[in-house]
Amino acid sequence: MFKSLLYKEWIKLRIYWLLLFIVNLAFCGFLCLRLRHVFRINEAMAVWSNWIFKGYLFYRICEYVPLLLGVVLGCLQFFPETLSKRLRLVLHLPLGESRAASIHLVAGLLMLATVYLPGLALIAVSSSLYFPPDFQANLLLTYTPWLLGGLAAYLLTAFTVLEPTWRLRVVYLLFSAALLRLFFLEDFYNSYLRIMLSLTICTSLLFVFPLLSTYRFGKGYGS
Amino acid sequence: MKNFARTLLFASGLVLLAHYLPAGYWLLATKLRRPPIVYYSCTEKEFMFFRYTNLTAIRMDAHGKVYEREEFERILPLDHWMQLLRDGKLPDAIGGVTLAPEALRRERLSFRIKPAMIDTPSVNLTPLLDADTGRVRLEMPEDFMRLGSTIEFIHAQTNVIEREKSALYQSAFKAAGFVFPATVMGGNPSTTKPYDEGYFVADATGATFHLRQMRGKPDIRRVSSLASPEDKPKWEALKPLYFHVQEQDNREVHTIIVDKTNQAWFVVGKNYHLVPIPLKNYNPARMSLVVRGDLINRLVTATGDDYVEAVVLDRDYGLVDRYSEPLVARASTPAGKLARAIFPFTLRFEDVSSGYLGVFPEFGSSIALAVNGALLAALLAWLANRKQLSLSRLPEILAVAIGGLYGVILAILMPKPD
Amino acid sequence: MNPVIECRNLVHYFGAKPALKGVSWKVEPGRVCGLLGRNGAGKTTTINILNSFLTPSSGQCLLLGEDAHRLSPAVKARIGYLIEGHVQYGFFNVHQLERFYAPFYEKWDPAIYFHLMDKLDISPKQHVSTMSCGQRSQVALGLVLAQNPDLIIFDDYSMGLDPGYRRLFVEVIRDYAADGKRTILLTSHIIQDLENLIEDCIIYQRGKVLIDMEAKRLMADFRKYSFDTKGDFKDFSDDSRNLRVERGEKRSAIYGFLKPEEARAELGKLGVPAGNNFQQESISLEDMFIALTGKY
Repeated sequence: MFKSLLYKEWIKLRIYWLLLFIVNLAFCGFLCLRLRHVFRINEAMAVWSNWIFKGYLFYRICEYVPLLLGVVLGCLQFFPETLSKRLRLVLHLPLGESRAASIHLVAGLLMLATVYLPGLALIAVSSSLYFPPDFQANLLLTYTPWLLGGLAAYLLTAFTVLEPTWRLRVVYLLFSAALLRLFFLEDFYNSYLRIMLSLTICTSLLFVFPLLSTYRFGKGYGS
Repeated sequence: MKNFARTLLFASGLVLLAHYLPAGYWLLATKLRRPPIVYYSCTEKEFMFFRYTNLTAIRMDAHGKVYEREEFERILPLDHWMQLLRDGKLPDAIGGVTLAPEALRRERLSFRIKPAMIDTPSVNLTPLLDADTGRVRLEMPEDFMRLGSTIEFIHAQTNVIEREKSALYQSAFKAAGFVFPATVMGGNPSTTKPYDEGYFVADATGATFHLRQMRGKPDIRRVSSLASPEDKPKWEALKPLYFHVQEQDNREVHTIIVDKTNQAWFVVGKNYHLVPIPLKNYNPARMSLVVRGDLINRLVTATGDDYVEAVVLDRDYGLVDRYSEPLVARASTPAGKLARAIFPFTLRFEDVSSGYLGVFPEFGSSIALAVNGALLAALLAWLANRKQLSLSRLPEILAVAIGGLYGVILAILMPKPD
Repeated sequence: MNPVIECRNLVHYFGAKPALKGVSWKVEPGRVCGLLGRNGAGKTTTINILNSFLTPSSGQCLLLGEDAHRLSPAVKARIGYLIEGHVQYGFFNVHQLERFYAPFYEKWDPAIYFHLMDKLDISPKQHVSTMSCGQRSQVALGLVLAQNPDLIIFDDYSMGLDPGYRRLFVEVIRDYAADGKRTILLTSHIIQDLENLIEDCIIYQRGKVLIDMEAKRLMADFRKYSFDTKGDFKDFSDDSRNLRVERGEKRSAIYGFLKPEEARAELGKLGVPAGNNFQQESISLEDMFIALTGKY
């Protein structure tokens, strides 16, 4: 049953997944090219000085990409389920509602991970040509809240889209915007170091919110 | 699951409201509240102030007498010597010290230590300039130093460790008695400065070392072994928290150290003389430290949200005068009191004390607690009236009990139980 | 034997507006039951409760002995639902659909599904979204039947279907129910289709159950008597006795569970002169439905 639901989401989203994968890879690829370009036209010391010591986050253009991808995937995955109340088909399947909804979320999260990680790997490999491992670690740790923000954005999008009443959709939209802003407070490498674990735990706890919306959908709120 | 989700929704709603509502409130309520700038007049031998009320600045002395700008500048000749020189009003000497423009320019000291500088994320890669290349201007080296459990140099262009140089420095450190790993390090990795002081580094035992590169060779010294007999025990007892290096023209101050007991020290002269800065209530986590020095005095001002303290030291670092005054903290202003009455707690994720993000709670006054209680009673009465007082309403009840106004907003907005 | 579907005193409000005012009825195992009612009678609300999409304000609805809005997966596996509009996953083709659904149902029989699919004029890779309404309905039907459920709930199977597909549905359902092992609940606005299909008939009127009886008995006992119109009189209806009198220009009629002499007596009580040519007329289920529930 788990495989069946994953299969369904894959068939439904595979073209979109490919597009998102390409978009993310393009961004990351562009960043790598920019990196290469900067090192070709500037003194390495000047670049290191600017980027490492002064903390100029050169990959800031990627900051909101995971978030946008998360929102887009959430919309593409769940919005069609709310049209004609197609979600009812899943709720009629012989498995628990929460379980069914959870598997959909797992499918989405897996897709997001497979979109994000290759791009991240590309940046990591590319920057390893120019920077030592400590700086790499800083880069990746600085990127982590943005990735978590992307996963959170996906879960919060599902939460909002699946909610059957318009009033609460508006409330959840505001709630989500307020919560997501907290993932993007960084202005220097590693600012999140001390709260990274809490941030990760909070992001994983967001998993239950779309289950609440599915439950409310199943109960007939908003009908 | 649905109860857990609802509870979590209320809990996160509380966190968000506790962060955003007060922030929005202060966006509307904030008035310009700048602390006074403290000066010391070497001619009048008293403290002078630049005070801000709303958008206007008033110049006054410690007795409240207000001064016009020209008069103020005249009383503070060493702070305004350039203007006075231009106007032809600069005296030739003060207290036997000749005021030559060159000396005035050279002897200016200026340091600023903000709390966030002390506790801030950093990348452990920094350039070690060559302090004695024979060139007029300082130049950026081609490599970066990584000092942690070993010392290594990485060439920026090739991103490869320079084995020879690293080994050279590693043995120099060992020879100097440095115990790895390095714990605290401070320097100024810029080339726009008059000379290079290098880095001050604390080893694993807390001992302070001074590191420089001189003509390509390592120059690392245990400071306590170079100090005078009076300073040596002080150096050995010193547990540095932060080294502030900011090279000045007169090359007098090597570094300012903030130690783990919240004591600030000047390190001056060839023998690394340790001079304690005699502030009584300096809290490095919450106060900015500003040093302004001139030909005659050194004025050190520590400014916090609710307190400012200043000490004046002469050229030999003897205490000349001191001043302190409480400031109206934001929490004590009318807006602050109102905030503390309506917000039972607030959450910030950024704080002056650190460059790291964290959770920084502040709590309201007992009025806020009373308001919570009243709102809770009202909620319970309302629920009881509609026969809806049940366990499923626990999230709302707890939210109002803990969050008062926040809880009420959540109870209105969030989904009701079945 | 326990009823397969049981509604006990269902009450539901949308805000302050009552949609169901205490309906109770049962469907016994192996029966084909039609749930009929005008728009706004409460039929859709009841179906949504049966489909677990709505929790009633009060009352209970049991499917195979379990609460409809808290069905265990084991019971869900025994119930087939055809949702209004034949909603299905448009991005699947017929093979992918079968591949998706089969693992969920132990009793899945692909033969039934593919037998129906073969009759469709579609290519194997064609997505459901590009099929016509009728083709989609057949796909939805095939999926439901392949589950081999003990209970099927058809929520307005006829919506958007042309006569050919409607006839197909009726025939398939009849064949499927022929062994008496399946219980079927249908709703539809096309009453003439249901006439020879349903065994039990429940008719809703304004949130309440108006009629709950065997279809055969309804057809036999509910009668229409027509007569020449004489004099001036108004139309009359009485829901509590299922009685209706309609005045026509030339011919008028009285409807009800009445024998001929009872019909004459009722007319007499109402002061309606029973003109000449007083005779019983045969009426369809649709005529009965309209007579019972009114035209407006």
